[in-house]
This record gives sequence, C-alpha cells and structure tokens, in this order.
Amino acid sequence: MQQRTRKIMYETHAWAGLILGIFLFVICFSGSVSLFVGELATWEHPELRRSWNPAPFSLESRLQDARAAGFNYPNLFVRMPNPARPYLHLMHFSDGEHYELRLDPHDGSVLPKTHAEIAEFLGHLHTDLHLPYPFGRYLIGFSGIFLLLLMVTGIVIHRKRWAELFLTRRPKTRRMWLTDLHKLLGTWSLPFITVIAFTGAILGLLGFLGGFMALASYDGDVAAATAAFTGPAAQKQDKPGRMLSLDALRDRALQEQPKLQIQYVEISEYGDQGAHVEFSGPVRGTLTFQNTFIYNLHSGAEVHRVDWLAGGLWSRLFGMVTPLHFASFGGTAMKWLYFFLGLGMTLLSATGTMIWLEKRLNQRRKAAAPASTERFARVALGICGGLPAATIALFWVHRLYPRADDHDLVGAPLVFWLVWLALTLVACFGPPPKALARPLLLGSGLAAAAVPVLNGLTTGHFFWDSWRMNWFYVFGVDATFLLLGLGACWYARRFHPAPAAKTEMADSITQPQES
Amino acid sequence: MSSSSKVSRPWGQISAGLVGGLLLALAVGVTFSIYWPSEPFDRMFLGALLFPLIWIAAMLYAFTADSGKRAWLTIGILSLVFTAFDALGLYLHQAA
Repeated sequence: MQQRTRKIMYETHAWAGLILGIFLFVICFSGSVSLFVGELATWEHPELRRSWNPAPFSLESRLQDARAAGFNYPNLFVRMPNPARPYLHLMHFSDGEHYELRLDPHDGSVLPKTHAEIAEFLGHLHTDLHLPYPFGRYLIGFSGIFLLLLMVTGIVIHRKRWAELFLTRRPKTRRMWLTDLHKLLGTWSLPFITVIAFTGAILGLLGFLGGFMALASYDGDVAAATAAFTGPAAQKQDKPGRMLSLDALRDRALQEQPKLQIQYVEISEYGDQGAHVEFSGPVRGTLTFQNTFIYNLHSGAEVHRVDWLAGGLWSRLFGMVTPLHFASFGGTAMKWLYFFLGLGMTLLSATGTMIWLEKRLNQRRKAAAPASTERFARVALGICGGLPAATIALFWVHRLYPRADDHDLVGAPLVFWLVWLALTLVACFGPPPKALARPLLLGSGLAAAAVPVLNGLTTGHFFWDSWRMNWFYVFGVDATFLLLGLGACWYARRFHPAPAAKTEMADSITQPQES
Repeated sequence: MSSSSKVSRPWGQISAGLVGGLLLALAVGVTFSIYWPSEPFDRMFLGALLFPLIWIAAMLYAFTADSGKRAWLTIGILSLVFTAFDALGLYLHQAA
C-alpha cells in the first residue's frame, strides 16, 4: 500500500476517533449497561424479586385478573415473564402517558406498582441519548457508520495485527502502554466491533432508510411497507363481540411454530369485533428477530404473520440485525460476553482519545501545552469519567431515596444529570486532569463496590441471600458492581504505570510505518 | 509536495466522502431495492443492508482521491447515474 494512502488512513482514524471518541464512549458504556435492562428492572425494585418459575400459566386468567383489578384498557402491551423479570408486565400507552401493572403469572396477585426507572433511563441513553426522536436515534446510527470507518482505517494502519493479539513488550511510557492496550483491544474485539457497528448503524438509521427503501420496494407506499412488518392495525368496528381465549390462540401460534418463544403479547381494541391479539418472539435455536402471529380476537381468523425464516436471503439477514446487536440469542452467557466486549469497546474509545492527548501534550512538553488541548483533556475526563460515576449515583439514589409504594422516583434522573454535570465542571475548572483522574477513578470504584453493600443494608438481600434464593439477576448485578468497583480501585493504585518519557519511541509506534 | 498539501487541506475529499458518499449510498440502496429480483419485503432490506457498506467505501475512496474535485466528480457522476436508474425504475413500476 502506498505510504500516502496509509498516511491518509492514519489521519482519518485519528481525526474521526478524536471527534467521535467521547461520543462513542457514552454510547458503548450505556449500551453495555443496558444489555441488562431486564435484570436491572428487577434489581431496582426489591418487591419484585422472586424466583423464576418456568411452569406454564393461563394468560387469559391473568388478563381477567388485570381487568378485575381495574386495568381494563382495550389496548394492552404485555411483556411475558422471563428469568430476569419473573412477572407478567402489562402496559397501556395513551396520550404520551403510560400505565403499568405487574402480576404474578401463576397466582395472579397484583405486585406493587413500580417503574423500572434505572433500566429505562440507561436504555434510552443508549438508543436516543435522551434526545427527542429521531435526532438521538439518527446520531447513534451515524456514529455506527463512523465506527465502521474507524475499524476499517484501524485495520489498514495496523498491519501487524496478528502480532498484536498479545502484548509481548513491556511498555516504558504511558503512551506506549495506552497504544498497546488500544491495539490489543481493537484486535481482539474486531469481529464484535464489526457486528455492533454495522447493526447499530442499521438500527439507528432504520427510520431514515426505511422511507427510501419503502419508496423503492412498495412504489412509494410507506404504509404498505410498514404493514408488511407490523401487520394491519386493528380496526374498531364499534360492535361489541365475544372475545376468544388468549390461551387457545397462544396454543394455536405455538402449533404453527412450536419453537416460538413468546416474549410479547399485544392486544388491540379488546371487546370489539375488530379486536386483534399479536404474539411475537424469536424462534428458539435460530438467529431471528421477532416472529409474529396476529389473530382476530373475535373470530380467531389469522390476520397476519411475519416469519423471518420463511423470507428471502435479505430479509433473513435483516432479521439477524436486532438479536446480533442486543445479544438476545445465546442466553445469559452471550449477554455477559457482550457486556465485557462492550466495556472493551468503551475502553477502546477512551484509550484512543488518551493516545491523542498524550501525543499532543508530550509534543509540546518543552513549550507550554496548547490551551485547546488542555481544554479538550479536561472535557474528555469530565464526560468520560463522569458518566460511570453518575450511573453509580443513580443506583445509590434508588437505594437511599425513601418513597411511597406507588410513587415513581422522579429525582433519580436529575441526580444522574447533576452528578455528570458537576464532575464535568470540576474537570473543566478544577484540578488538572492528571491530578483529578486518579481520585475520580478511586471514588467511582469505591462507590461501585459499595452498591451491593447498600443493596444488602436497605433490602436485606445480601449476596448470599440472592444466591440462596436463586435470584441470579440480583446476584449478577451486585457481583458486577463489586468486581468492577474493586477493579477500578486496583487500577487507580497503579494509574501511572511509568514515567512519561521517551516520547520519541512512543511517537514511532503510533505513526504509520512505511510500506 | 503536492500530496502533503492535499492531505493538510482535504475539505473537498471530506465533503465528497461525507455528503457525496451519503447520497451515493442512498441512490445505490434504492436501486437495489427497486431492481433486485425478489419479493418487495425481501429486497427492501437489501438497500438498507448495503447502505453502510457503500457509504464507507465512498468515504475511503474520496479521502484517498487525488483531489476533492476528482472525488466529487466520480461520486457525483455515480450518484447521478444511480439516481437516474432509480427514477426510471419508479416510473416503470408506477406505469406498469
């Protein structure tokens, strides 16, 4: 490859990484955490913690229990129980408001009214950056494109990538160490980054692309393209009708596709002759998006079916995008693998930015460091260091804030934003980054390690209790906090692995080599 | 050196890669979504799946092009050709 091409690739990698590094850090970190939205939703509400019972239950009986409890909306969205959320979760959305009810799937008892705030908050940070749709979603999608660009240019400039699968030298400077770590993380997580960046770009830009592709494939009829996905909407006929049993229709869907794992049930216009029920979920043993069966709740007629396995090559490939991005295949082990690889990507973003900063600051060591570089270092530390701390604060607030049984914890997101903002301001106007980074990491580590202790003290559910009661979602969240917290404390002790010297040697490592 | 001066002021290449590449990726995606011989539900996804790959390829081409003018010329012509195909395909579909 020509030296000029390699240099351009290097410049592209460096500048795209610099512009997007902090942004990618936020997306990767929030994405890693939000993999466990189900587990977190149950963890944050001790009253919902219960053992997972996979025995079948009557969906029709639970619907009638909900209606008897006053939750008798004609349009309902039902999340079926799973090991992370071992309860039936009914939701109704109306005029921007949403109403929820949780039931024990086996005895129908109504569970305390709560709202999975941490889980939803972190999930929304990852998918929309808490910006109005579609701005945040499209920003995420475009960042997926540029992450792919970073990956391709990274492959081109690092020719010795197989040799970089292992660290074989002892780094003498911090920049050398950061560079080795960046290459190591990038090389090991290359397939993962490819999958996440590509699927993230598709998912983020689906709303943007969908219009164009529907225009092309359905002669401009976007409604027809949407209906091919979702099926026709239920049309209210204003004629009350007898509703069929949800259990009978569920059995019918399972007869049609015995490996269907029903995750969601959507009921539309219940009580009317035009009512629909939709059963959707992945097919066990396959890598597919939600297969869907829609029936008329009055006549039992099949209204629509989406079978991603029965379509052509491209729809089958597209059906893999969502499970590949959210690790909704392969069970808990796959989610943990994604979690650690996601944290690796987070670290990759951080080390990329840090390498650039080290280079800039060391280049100007004899003169004063440029003010813009110093400012950028402060902003980067504030945003990247503040995000984990703010996330931990969210968990602390949830455990310490006294609240009524049916009252949502409205202040937790505010605490998150305030902590993040405060730490960013401290980083921008307080001590220099090198002085602040270590105490920030140590403080975050201690706060994270204390979360399981706080959980035990406030709920009575210590590690051993959750393990003994098979509440693995509680145990998993606590153990992760403890391990990551202790890991951060350990790393904070040796934060500066070597004196900053021999910058010329480090420069030679990150500059592109001649072909 | 001419190459180094181009690397230091590559706004033409950058805009061609970012803006031109986006337009080209959309045009190519739509072309495949119109002409690919399969069901509409299937070929609709082909365009979406190709979009990131085409854009990345266009960016890499544009960034390494000799000049911004050349990058814009190549990507612009390709975009126009594919857009013409798209317009023709949509017209024929609606006329049929």
